[in-house]
Amino acid sequence: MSEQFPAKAFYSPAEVAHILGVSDSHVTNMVKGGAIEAVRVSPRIIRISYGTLMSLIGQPLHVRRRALTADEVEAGRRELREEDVPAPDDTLVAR
Amino acid sequence: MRLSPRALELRIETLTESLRGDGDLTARHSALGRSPVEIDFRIEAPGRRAGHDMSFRYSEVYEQADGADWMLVGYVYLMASLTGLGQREYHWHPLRWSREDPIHHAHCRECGNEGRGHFRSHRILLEEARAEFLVIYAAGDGVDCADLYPLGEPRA
Repeated sequence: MSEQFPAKAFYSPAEVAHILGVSDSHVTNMVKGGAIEAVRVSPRIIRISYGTLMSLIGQPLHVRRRALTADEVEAGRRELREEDVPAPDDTLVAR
Repeated sequence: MRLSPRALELRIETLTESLRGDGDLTARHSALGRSPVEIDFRIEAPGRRAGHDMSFRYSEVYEQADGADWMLVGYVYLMASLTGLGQREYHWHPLRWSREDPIHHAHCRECGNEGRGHFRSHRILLEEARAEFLVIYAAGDGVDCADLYPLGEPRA
């Protein structure tokens, strides 16, 4: 299937249904059943990511796999070890 | 979190599969037989021709505990907007005033602000951070720090 739809970060279930050529309720049921991963923005608003949609149409996004060296691991830990210290704050004083 | 060697391998594979739906994913990890092990996932979202306006990073560091199991000793969970919608990050490490005690905390920078503040946090799971980040991203409103409490050096 070629990509004949607007590329954006998230789609509504109705948009996904239109792209897949199925009914809205089919997509909604797939989301409810966990077959389609979706983001619940609010109790009434569900969004499906671009990456999930691409997987649904058989064109999953690229995954690069790479080994991390021991030096890279150490560099990451060093970066975290010390950082800016927040100023004294009354919010932590026992009341 | 304590994982057997097999569970750690499965975690990497499971996370790779679930995170690939969030955008272009780079999945990296260090050699699994040598402590410490770091697993690191970087995502450019939305991905491919839809562009790239949000970055996610999920990194975890494990050290070998007693026996062969792996213990989670650090994490960085981060979302950062490339279009000025802000940034939110969770991690833990000692702060100058905490001596050697690691302090779980959050950093948050709201849409339009330059500095990023320190905020209180508890230990969270990667999956919890991801769920929160995706809701913020999908809502499209930018990062809001109003739900976080400032973190400061406790006074004696």
